[in-house]
Amino acid sequence: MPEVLETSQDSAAAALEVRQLEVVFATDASPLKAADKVSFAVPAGRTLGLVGESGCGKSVTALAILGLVPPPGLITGGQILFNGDDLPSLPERRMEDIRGARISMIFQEPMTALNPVFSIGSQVAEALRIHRRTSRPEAWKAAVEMLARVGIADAAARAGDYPHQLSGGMRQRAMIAMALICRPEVLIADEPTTALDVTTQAQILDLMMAMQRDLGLAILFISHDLGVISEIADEVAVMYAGAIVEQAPAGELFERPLHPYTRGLIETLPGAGPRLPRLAAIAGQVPDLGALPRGCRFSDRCPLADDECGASEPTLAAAGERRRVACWKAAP
Amino acid sequence: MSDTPILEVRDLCKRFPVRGKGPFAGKSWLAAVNAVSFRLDKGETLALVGESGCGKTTLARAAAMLQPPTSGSVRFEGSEITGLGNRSLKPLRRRVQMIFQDPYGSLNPRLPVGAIIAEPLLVHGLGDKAERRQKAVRLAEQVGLKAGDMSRYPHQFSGGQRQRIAIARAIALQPCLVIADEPVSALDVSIQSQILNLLRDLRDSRRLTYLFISHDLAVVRHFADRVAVMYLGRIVETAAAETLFDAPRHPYTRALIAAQPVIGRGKRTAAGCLSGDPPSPLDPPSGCPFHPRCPLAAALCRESRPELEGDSGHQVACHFKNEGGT
Amino acid sequence: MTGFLFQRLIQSAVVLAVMSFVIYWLMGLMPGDPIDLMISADPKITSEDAARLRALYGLDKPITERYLNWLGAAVGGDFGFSRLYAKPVPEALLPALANTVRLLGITLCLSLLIGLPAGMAAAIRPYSKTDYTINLLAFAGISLPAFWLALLLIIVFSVFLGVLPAGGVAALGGDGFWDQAKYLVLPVANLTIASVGGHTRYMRAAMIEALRQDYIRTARAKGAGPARVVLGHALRNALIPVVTIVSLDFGFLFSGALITETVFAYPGMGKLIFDAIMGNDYNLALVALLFVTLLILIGNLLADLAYAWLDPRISYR
Ligand SMILES: Nc1ncnc2c1ncn2[C@@H]1O[C@H](COP(=O)(O)OP(=O)(O)O)[C@@H](O)[C@H]1O
Ligand SMILES: Nc1ncnc2c1ncn2[C@@H]1O[C@H](COP(=O)(O)OP(=O)(O)O)[C@@H](O)[C@H]1O
Ligand code: SF4
Ligand code: SF4
Ligand SMILES: [Mg+2]
Ligand SMILES: [Mg+2]
Repeated sequence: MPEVLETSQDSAAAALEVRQLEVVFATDASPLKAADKVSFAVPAGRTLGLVGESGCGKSVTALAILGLVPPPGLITGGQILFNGDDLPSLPERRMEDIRGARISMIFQEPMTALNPVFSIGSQVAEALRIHRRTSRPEAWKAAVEMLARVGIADAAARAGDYPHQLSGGMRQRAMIAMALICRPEVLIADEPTTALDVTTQAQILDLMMAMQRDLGLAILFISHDLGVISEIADEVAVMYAGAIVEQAPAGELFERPLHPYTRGLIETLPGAGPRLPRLAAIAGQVPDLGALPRGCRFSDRCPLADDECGASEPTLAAAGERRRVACWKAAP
Repeated sequence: MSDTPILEVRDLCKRFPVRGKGPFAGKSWLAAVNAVSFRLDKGETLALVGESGCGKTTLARAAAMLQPPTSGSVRFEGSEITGLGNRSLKPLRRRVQMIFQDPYGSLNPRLPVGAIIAEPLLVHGLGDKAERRQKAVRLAEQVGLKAGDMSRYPHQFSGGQRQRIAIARAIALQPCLVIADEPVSALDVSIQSQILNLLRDLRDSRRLTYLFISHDLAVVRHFADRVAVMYLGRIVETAAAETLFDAPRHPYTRALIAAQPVIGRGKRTAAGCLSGDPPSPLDPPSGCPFHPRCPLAAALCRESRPELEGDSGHQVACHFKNEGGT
Repeated sequence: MTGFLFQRLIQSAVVLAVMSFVIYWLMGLMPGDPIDLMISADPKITSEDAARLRALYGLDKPITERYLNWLGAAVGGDFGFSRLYAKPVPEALLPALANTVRLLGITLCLSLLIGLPAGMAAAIRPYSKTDYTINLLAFAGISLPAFWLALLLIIVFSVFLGVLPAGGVAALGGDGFWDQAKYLVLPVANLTIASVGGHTRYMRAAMIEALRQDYIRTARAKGAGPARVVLGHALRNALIPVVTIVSLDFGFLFSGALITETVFAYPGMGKLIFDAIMGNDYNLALVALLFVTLLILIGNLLADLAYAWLDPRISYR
């Protein structure tokens, strides 16, 4: 299998590697596969962008890494390799030591993701208190320093503020401070700028890149926004209905998308070129994970689909040196 | 194109009373929209852009008299509509319709789609039951729904389909002006373009005029004829879409355009992004409201507020509008 | 925060003033007045005498004027004289007030001490066996009629087992702790059983809601263990709605206390007010009702304090 070969090539430098991950939600109707044989690696100091439309399984994949998939979801297969361990097989106590200390996560809505009844200073300090057993005053001091580092002006005073007293951008900065205070190796960012204005988004992206440089972070950056992904990712994986359908270095992916879905996504966006009367569109709608079409999961919307596509599902296969694509018709 | 604009707004202000902290603190006023003027010609699409909270929604609602403005004048097809009572506004209500960001919130979950689309006809007493039903089916087909969808309920549809339902309802009364408040922001990327194409087709086939609100500059650049950039309740720059995007003159417009992520430009280089957050409209800065964040701010900017000036094609509110390239 | 409390204090004072007038006015509506009582007690009093007496006591004046006179005296510390107890009103009232406060205080503490942890335990694993058991018990407590339960308790513990007194308070001279306490056991048990189910259910619902929030996922992503997640992050948020409901519930607890007092012949405010109204002891009934209002207001004020302490957003409202 070319795929396994390729991922193991990367794994030397990979801070985090996901192999053939499967997450299933046992719902009343049929079980939903929210992640279907998902594989990728994130090297230290680099950013992997995971892009796809809502409901395609991005958040579930991210939560699976930390062992936080909400019930009735279950990891039913695959490996998540971090630091020589397979995370899903670790006992919960060991996962607790990893979460927030070695792999951290930030979320989309910093208002609801922060606890409304505690000051941001104490929420940032808490990570240190949990993992380093730092004394209260020491942890507070470190939290203030961290808040200053993520660009909160007058951090000593702001640390006492509660989340509702801050703007959206400031809250996301506080989230980042909280995620990074223990100097993790991996940061998972699940749509961290989706709820923000473009100007604030730019600030947060710059901050994340600066922190990556300082700490050598491996970042898994999740977004539905191709523009954001294009500006922050070194490598991009495109997800559709639970599976990765294409993966490539960012420049190549946007210049020469191979999968019809990737191509469709890029073409539907109003671009910087001359204004056209109509935008290209992908026909139909995102399928329900419980009712995927037979064969290729994109076949009901794909302009290139033919009988072969409906008969059997293409696997993610190597297409050129550092690219993978899951399509029968994609010429590398 | 006739000379009377569909909508002409002059010096429109909308202030909200806000309670201060503590039991005896007095009321203060939040100026959500401040002395805004614009005109909208028939068949034209004017986009309002700016950071959230800058007053886009409030301006649109006040201009449509959905929320009476505090002061200023709004002329609809040449006649003044501020100060009119609800009854005199009824014809206006027919001719101006709104589409919102969250289609689910605006669709009655207990009504089947057919009834939702026919509801405005019923409210305005148009046609008998059979005619209304027929018309609803025709409208549904126009927005890309199937006749079989008419008896289903809103929760059985995806976000994109719901937005189609909302659009069908909005055009049921044959409005001439449609106010679309972030109509595609909540939709999936692959659905956004479908809806934008639909809105454009309707504009062409029905000669609709749009007041189009969006925070996505790429969408605005594609969709709008003219753009008004708002900051802290005021328009700071307005021009034809091409002009505005190719040769922006207000530092804020430039910052917004620079902050917009672009596909295939490669990894961002951390340079020159706007710092800070918009100030509170309760406590606006002196002089030019943008000066605390403006890279070009000078002493003059802190003292006096620049007026929106220029020829009718391109107006800018900045003391240094003729300096600094893109 | 201080502004918020100050505001609440003023509100409470206004409520108390309004209530005092309403109660005064309602008492005036009741059939008969003190002079009618005198007449029925002494057939020799003529109607002229009665009119003279009414003028003497100011009973012929309009109600607002009489109210203002009473208010003036009350503010000056003169609450009048209880005919029934033949004592100044405060002297008649205070022992009963102390008894009721003791009954309510112990009950509330006990009910919260049992109900909140039980609700929490149920919420941690919703629909588990623990949850079902706790729910079942809570519903049983909620659905038992208080007076029926009281009778049951009396029959079992006083009549059959004979270990606890059926009613009253410690006899004169019986001042040992247990002598005092044993009279409280059954009323407290009765009232606690009546209220603990509600407290358990509120806590369960609030806790389940809190555990569903995004910040819980954040806490877990930070590496917080289950204890820290529940006690550190969810509990404080869950207590905010619980405090609100418990304080709203305080009035009901109070009426429950009045019923319990009657069944157990417990000399508290419930019994006092009942006796005062039946005996046409206006002065006493009026002041007693006002104290009940005051007690409920104090309860709500304490809840506000707890609320403001729990929820940092409150001071900015
Ligand atoms: N709590 C849940 N219960 C049932 N199904 C879920 C749950 N969370 C997620 N799913 C399923 O997993 C799919 C992927 O969800 P998610 O990862 O949140 O998507 P996204 O790519 O938008 O982050 C959804 O389409 C949904 O079907
Ligand atoms: N009903 C209201 N009462 C008080 N303030 C309001 C109200 N509606 C809007 N605002 C305030 O007016 C400003 C502009 O709001 P809005 O028009 O919704 O902005 P936008 O649509 O650009 O995001 C904001 O600061 C907002 O808080
Ligand atoms: S395999 Fe067939 S249906 Fe699937 S993406 Fe390729 S061409 Fe389209
Ligand atoms: S007037 Fe001054 S502060 Fe305002 S935008 Fe122009 S340069 Fe900037
Ligand atoms: Mg998600
Ligand atoms: Mg808005």
